[in-house]
Formats: sequence, C-alpha cells, structure tokens
Amino acid sequence: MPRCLLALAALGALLVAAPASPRAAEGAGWATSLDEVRRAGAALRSVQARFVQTKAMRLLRRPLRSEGEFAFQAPGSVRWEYTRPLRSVLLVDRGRLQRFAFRDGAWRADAAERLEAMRVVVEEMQAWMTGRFADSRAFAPALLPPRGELPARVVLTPREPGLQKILARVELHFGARPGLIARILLVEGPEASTTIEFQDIRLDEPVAPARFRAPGEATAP
Amino acid sequence: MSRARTPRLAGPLAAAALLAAGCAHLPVLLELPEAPTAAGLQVRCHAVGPTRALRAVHTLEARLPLGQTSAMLGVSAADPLRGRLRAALVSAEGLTLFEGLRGDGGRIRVLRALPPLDGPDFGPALLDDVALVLLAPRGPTLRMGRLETGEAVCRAPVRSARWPGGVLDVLPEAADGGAALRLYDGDERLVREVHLAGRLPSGLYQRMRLEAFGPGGYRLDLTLLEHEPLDPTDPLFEEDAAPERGEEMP
Repeated sequence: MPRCLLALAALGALLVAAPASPRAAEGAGWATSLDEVRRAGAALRSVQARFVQTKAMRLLRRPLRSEGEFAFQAPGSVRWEYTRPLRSVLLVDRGRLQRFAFRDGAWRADAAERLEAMRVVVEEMQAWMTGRFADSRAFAPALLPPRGELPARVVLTPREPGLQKILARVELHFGARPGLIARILLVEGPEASTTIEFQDIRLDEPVAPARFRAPGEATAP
Repeated sequence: MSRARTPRLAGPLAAAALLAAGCAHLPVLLELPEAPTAAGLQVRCHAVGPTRALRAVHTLEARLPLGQTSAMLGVSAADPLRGRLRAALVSAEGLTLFEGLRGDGGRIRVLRALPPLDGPDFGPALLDDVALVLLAPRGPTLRMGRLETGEAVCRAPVRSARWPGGVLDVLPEAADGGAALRLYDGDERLVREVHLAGRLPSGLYQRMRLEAFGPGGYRLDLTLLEHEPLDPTDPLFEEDAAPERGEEMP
C-alpha cells in the first residue's frame, strides 16, 4: 500500500474548504450542488479557528479529546496545529510542506523523506479547500441533502482499496455561510471515528504571515 | 559544522548505546539478609503495576533505530488477573494505526494494522511490550535477592512464547528512585528494561520508559494522561470482539 494513502487518511481532516461553528450548521441551504460548493469555497479568502477533535473507539468509554488551531489563507497556505495533548504543527506555504513536533522542550522538524508521502495530501488539500471535490483522485464525492438534524454534507468515499482499508468515509458537514464547513467526521469503521468541530471562527481577516512559518527555533530532525 | 554533525551522530550513537546495553546478562543475585525481609520484598514486588482491570491513555514517544522519532497516543485496557489486554496506537490526527488483543492463554489477534505497522512481528512484539508494563507477574517468584548495587530483586519466570525460558527481574525500589523491570531471554541476555516513576494508588505509573535492546533496538517513553477502573467482564477482551469493517453509509 503506498505510504501516501496512509498520510492521506491521517490528514483527511485537514482538507476542508473552511470551518464554521456548529451553530452555523443550522442552515446550509446554499449547498445545493457540488458546483455551488465549489463556487462558495473559491470565494473564501482566509479562515482562522480553534478546533476540538474527539476520537471514539471501542477501547474508550469517553472520547479522547485533542485541541488545536487552524489557519487558511487563499490560495494555498495552511497551518494545522495540535496544542494538546500532543503538540505538532503542519504548515503549507507557497507549495512548501513542513511538519514539526514538540519534543524534549523544542520544536523539531520531521525529516524530508517522511514528508514526501504528504505531497499527495497537499494536492488533495488544494482541491478540497476550493471546493473542487470532483477533482479528487483519492475520494469519490457525493453531496447529501439535509436529513433530520444532519446538515447538507459531502461524503467522500475512498476510490482505492488500499485507502478503503484505512477509512470507510469522510464527511464534511456544511455551515450556514456559503463555503463553510462546521464539522468533519472521519469514519474508520463501525466502532471507530474521529470528529472535528470548529470554534471561534474568524473569516476573511488578515492572517499574520508568521502563522505559516516554522514555530520557534525548530531544529533539524 | 559541529551543529550539523550532531544530529547525524545522534542516531548511530543511540543505536550503539542500545546495542551495548543489550550485552548485559542476567546478574547473580546475592542473598537477602533474613526471611522477614524476603516476605516484605515479595509484597513490594507485587505492588509494581496495576492489580485490577483498567483503561489507560498515554502519550507515547518512540525513538527508533538511526534516531527516528514518532509521537502518538497509546490506548489500552488491561486485566492483570487474567493476563488479558487490548491496546491501540492512535496518531495525533486521530487515526487508529494499530489495535490488537491479547486474550485468554496469551492468544493474540490483530484487529487493525496500517502500514508500516502491519508486519507479522509488529503486533505480537507491541502487545508483549504492553503486557510487560501493564501485566507484571503476580505468580510465585523463582527467587529473591539483591544486586551488587544493593537493589532488592524478585526474579520471576516469563510465560511468553516470544521469550522461552526468559526471566523477569522486578526491582520495586530501583536506584533511580522509581521501580524497574528487566527482562532476560532464555540465553540470559537483557532484552527489555522498563523504568517506572510516579506510582499511583491504582498501581499505574505516571511515567514509563521501555528500552528494547539488540539489533533494531528502540525506546518508548510513555506519559499517563488518564485512567479509570474497568469491569474485567467487559466483552472488549473477547476474541470475537470488534468488527472493524462493514459500516454502511447513512
């Protein structure tokens, strides 16, 4: 199985148009077609938000909670940072991909060869961030209308058997504002899933360039 | 220039250190002074590690050969009385990288394993390591004594297909102030060493460091995030538990 598939699955949550608060999910009537989603995603210039990630699995009685911060600046700069319990930062800026982990009191960069598998992920990110789900090489998209308490959402199903062994599907739940995503759901199987909820959203505000630079004085791997 | 060289040397040096430590052999135990001391020592040895079923979540940092490091979360459920456990490795992004079960009689079932953790040896080796830190032996000891350094030791047989004829030294008061476990294979070579620090009433430790010696040696540093008691009759230990695939799209 290509390593890029694993990297793709691990980072599937990063590949969003832009996050919105759960409250915003109350109405997502704008998401009437994948074309409309693409148009709305392309209109967003920047997003900054916090996120709470909860992992549910049979082994856990209560979901495992992680927290972090997200920043996106069009056309393709991303910061995806976990602040607890593990600390790590993924950066994409001007086509350059970097990942850092906080170990032994300092930020340390991942080796370049370990990032190579994520290059494919970045391509997916750029397609999804602009709502171009139909361009995805790894996932087949389907737009589902609101149903009960579920808002309109795109369900991404892995095309390749290798990726299907890792993820059953990814769901992107839309918020009220066109282009916004309120929640991401990664389903591994019937007893394991990860949910990411976005909070404290700031849209189309300037993002400090430093947000897309290496944290602290990162050292070589 | 010297700054650039340091990281390149760190990996080989660490690997060499692990190899060198792996040359250690089963030490001779000196006699304990008197019988009451031995009885008390056995109680203290049995207090190393949890005594009841529990769930635990740890951060886990792995240092692999040639200096590679990786951080993830370790989720485990252990039933020390029956020697059963179930353990998973979860990435920071929330993806389950590995999940396996060690059921009754030590039977191992891998429930999920993603590359590169899907090799035939990885699951048994990982579950053996988790068993070492969470399922300390409760049975009779082969003998008790003390090392030349003065540390008291309970020496117990290891019942593992991976280490036939192996023995485990339990040091409830190691020289570093915590407890220690040292696993020797059937040829009396040191193959695993665990340092335990910050004992909680549950028998779990707040910090654990496991070192695996020999070729391909590695080091795991675990920090306890949360834990809770578990009903040992929970079916999660059953071998037919947890279908992993087959969910339909809503």
